[in-house]
Amino acid sequence: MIEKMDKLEIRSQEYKLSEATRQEIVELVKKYPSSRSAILPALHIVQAQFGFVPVEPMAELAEMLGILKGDVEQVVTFYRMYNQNPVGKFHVKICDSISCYLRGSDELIQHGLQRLGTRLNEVSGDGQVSISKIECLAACGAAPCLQVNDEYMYNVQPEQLDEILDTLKTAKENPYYIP
Amino acid sequence: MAEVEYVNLSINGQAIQGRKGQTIWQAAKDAGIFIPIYCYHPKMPPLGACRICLVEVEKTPKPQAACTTAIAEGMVVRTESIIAEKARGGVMEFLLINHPLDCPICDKGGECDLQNYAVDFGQSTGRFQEEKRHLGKALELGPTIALDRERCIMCQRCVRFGSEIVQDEGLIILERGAESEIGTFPGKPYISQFSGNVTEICPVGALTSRTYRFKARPWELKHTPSVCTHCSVGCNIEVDTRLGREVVRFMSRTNDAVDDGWLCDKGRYGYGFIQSEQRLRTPLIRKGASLVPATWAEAFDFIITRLNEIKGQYGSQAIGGIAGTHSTNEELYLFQKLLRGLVGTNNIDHKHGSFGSVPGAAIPAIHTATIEGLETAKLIVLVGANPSARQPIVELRIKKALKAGAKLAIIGPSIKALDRFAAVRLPVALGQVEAALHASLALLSKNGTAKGLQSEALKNSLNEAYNSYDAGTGLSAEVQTLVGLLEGAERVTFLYDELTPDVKGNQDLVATLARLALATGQLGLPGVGIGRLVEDNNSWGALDMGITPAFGPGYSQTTAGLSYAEMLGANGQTPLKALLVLGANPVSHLQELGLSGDAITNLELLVVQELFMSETAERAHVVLPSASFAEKDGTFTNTEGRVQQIAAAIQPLQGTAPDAAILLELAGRLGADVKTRNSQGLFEEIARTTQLYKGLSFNNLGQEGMLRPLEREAQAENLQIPDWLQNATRPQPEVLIGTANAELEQALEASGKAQS
Ligand code: SF4
Ligand code: SF4
Ligand code: FES
Ligand code: FES
Repeated sequence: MIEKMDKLEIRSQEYKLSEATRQEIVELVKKYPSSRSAILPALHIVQAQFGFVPVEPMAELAEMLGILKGDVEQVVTFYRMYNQNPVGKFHVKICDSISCYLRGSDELIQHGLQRLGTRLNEVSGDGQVSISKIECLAACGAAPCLQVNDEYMYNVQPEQLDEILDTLKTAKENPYYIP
Repeated sequence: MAEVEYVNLSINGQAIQGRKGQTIWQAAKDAGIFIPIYCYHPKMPPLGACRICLVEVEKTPKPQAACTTAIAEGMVVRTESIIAEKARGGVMEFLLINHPLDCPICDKGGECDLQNYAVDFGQSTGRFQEEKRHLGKALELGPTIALDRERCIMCQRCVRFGSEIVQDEGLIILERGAESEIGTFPGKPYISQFSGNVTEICPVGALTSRTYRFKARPWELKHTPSVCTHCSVGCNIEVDTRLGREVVRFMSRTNDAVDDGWLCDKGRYGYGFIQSEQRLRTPLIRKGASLVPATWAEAFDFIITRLNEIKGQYGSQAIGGIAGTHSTNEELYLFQKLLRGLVGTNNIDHKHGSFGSVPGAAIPAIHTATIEGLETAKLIVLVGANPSARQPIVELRIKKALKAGAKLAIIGPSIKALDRFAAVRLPVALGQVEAALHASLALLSKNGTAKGLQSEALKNSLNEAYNSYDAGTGLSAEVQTLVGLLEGAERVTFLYDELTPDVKGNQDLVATLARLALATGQLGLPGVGIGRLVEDNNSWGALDMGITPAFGPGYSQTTAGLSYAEMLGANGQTPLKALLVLGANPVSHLQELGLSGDAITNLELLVVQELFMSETAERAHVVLPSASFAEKDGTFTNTEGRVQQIAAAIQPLQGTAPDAAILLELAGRLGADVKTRNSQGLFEEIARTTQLYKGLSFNNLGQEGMLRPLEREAQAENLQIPDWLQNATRPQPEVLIGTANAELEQALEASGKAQS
């Protein structure tokens, strides 16, 4: 319950879609026969502006797509790729779907959180890192795996995760970036 | 009507004929074969989410969901086979994995589908050893509804009630899979005037009414069929009383023709008044400045003595009666019979909207639209009506019709819940609604597409009107769009609010609308045509029973008496010496009528039958405490002219009496030979003496009520086009589209923005 309240507070602060974001969504909607169908990519555009999906912009998006506000929230909370909270500069997303789970992702996540000293989805004090769970990354052959922002890391063992987190603590750019 | 195609199948070895397009569940239901459901609800499209309805279908590799699988010729279905039983048992076991099994403290326990089916189809032990999901109890979703997330089985009925039926913001699913829970948009509580319905369709004890939590156990309840009295829709309710004494809740009784299974919150939660501490519990007689408790005998003696004195001294024309629109038909009938027959006066009226130049006898015949008929209309036109605010359940029926392809036109101020569904809006000020109808009629006539307009006088007046519109601002695009829709639609329902004709500028709205209905071929069509959205649960009854100075029961001719405003002093004098008031509060209308109230102050006898101490009762010489609708039998006639029965759920509160009993006692004391005392007998008398209610009886009204015979039998060809329809129309101002909001803004400004 408490957790919910914090979450709501951050999400409910004053956020507004920028003109550029709105324009991008308007252009996007044109590609669909019915504007509601644009919701998934449109939410990515919203997330690109804020790093997560705040409350007020969801209402703005609903208005733009001609759907109910509740529909937007249902989609946002359904898919894990939309962040309901702000995330760290480096967002470590550990897969907890079946293959990774069988190969120890639960322990991996617990281990990471302990190392970082945060709760799930919570950003480290310096704003550098946050750990979340993510759905199957389609890399089951290399389970357990994770993403640092958009970059994949395969067969991650706890010691490796320590190393990754330590590196991220001081990193300026994503050290795992592959062009 | 399209030919129905039948499909032959067998269920549990029983040969069944279903209609093509039905699902297995529907065909089984029609054949009386039970299949459990959770996510499916007969008023919503199938979803196939919960799987409790799994049945065995021969030649399919696995069990099928009966709620989503269409029947097919030769299909062999088994609901009792080992496969079906195992499937259901398995689903049951899954559903109970996270369930807290707290039936003993659950409001639903005893009438819960989860509890019932668990007993019928589940095992007595579960195999789930892990920790169950724990969540806080009784989360307050909004002012009316509490949610117990642990009990929720994620059937989504409540969510789909919002998305499919109300089609507005409502309950939603948050998160996914094992973590899903029901909630609302962040920071927005669940506020909807239809919220209570989710507690009724939730198959488990997850959603409960905050007013009913822990108030009673289902097995203590006595259920009495009745009708909601909070607006003119007349939704069918069940008055649930604990041990036959305390009214604890209203539930829907599902009348497909009226409410379609839903209630609005105003109706559902509007039972507090019945057993309120504020109810009048003893007759009161005026002694100087105060009203003093008296016995019933003293009160009757006082009334009869004074009434006879006044009649002797001033004649019966010094006596009048005002009735309300919440009383039953039987009470209203008795009231006018007492005044007309025993007192000898036609000074009888109630507060109602005007009919303009429409003759009394034509009133019922032109109002043929029904609530269910909205679903057959291709176009629905709201004419200065706001059902969302005043007849809420009609909003849901309109939305249902729109979903099935009907179009909506709105003439008049904005309607928040419906604007966005409208194909065209004529946002004129309320006082311009008649002008907008008139303009549309003129354009139809000009286009040569108007039917049935025979008289030259009428045609000329319309042409003149057209030319003046054209010469002025020109007819706006909105009027043209509306006329285009009218020309193209096969069946049209026009709904107007009974009070709109009273707004300055709309004096002859009803006749203008009748001409428009005639011109579009809709006048007198059964089910569609014109519908009058009336004020109260028995507004029609008051007219039908002749509570007007212009006509008697069934719109029969009488010598005219004084009207409502006249009795209250509209002509600047005090016309009456005695006034009998039956469940009405005329003092509350003095200001709107611009009257001083002297006509009330100067009365020598004011008798008021009331539930509560109203402004009018405060001024009375005698106040008689009457019983509420939950304490008596009788009938009401709803906004579409459907006569429906109510039955007493509890005894009249100590000290009170039903109005009919009071009136009969008065009648007896005035010398009448009273033979019939019960509502059934009185209703039979009404049906016998009033053409309009001919053939109706308590026996054939049944649970669903019946339309007045006229509405049922109305046929365009039978309806002779009366002369009054062919009269020339009166000149109208030009139509100022977009003035409605300006008017609203002005009003807001005038109110000083005090609230902001
Ligand atoms: S709250 Fe009730 S109606 Fe809503 S999903 Fe849960 S069980 Fe179904
Ligand atoms: S719509 Fe009217 S009759 Fe129906 S429940 Fe609401 S108040 Fe009662
Ligand atoms: S389960 Fe982890 S990548 Fe597929
Ligand atoms: S009732 Fe058929 S799947 Fe839920």
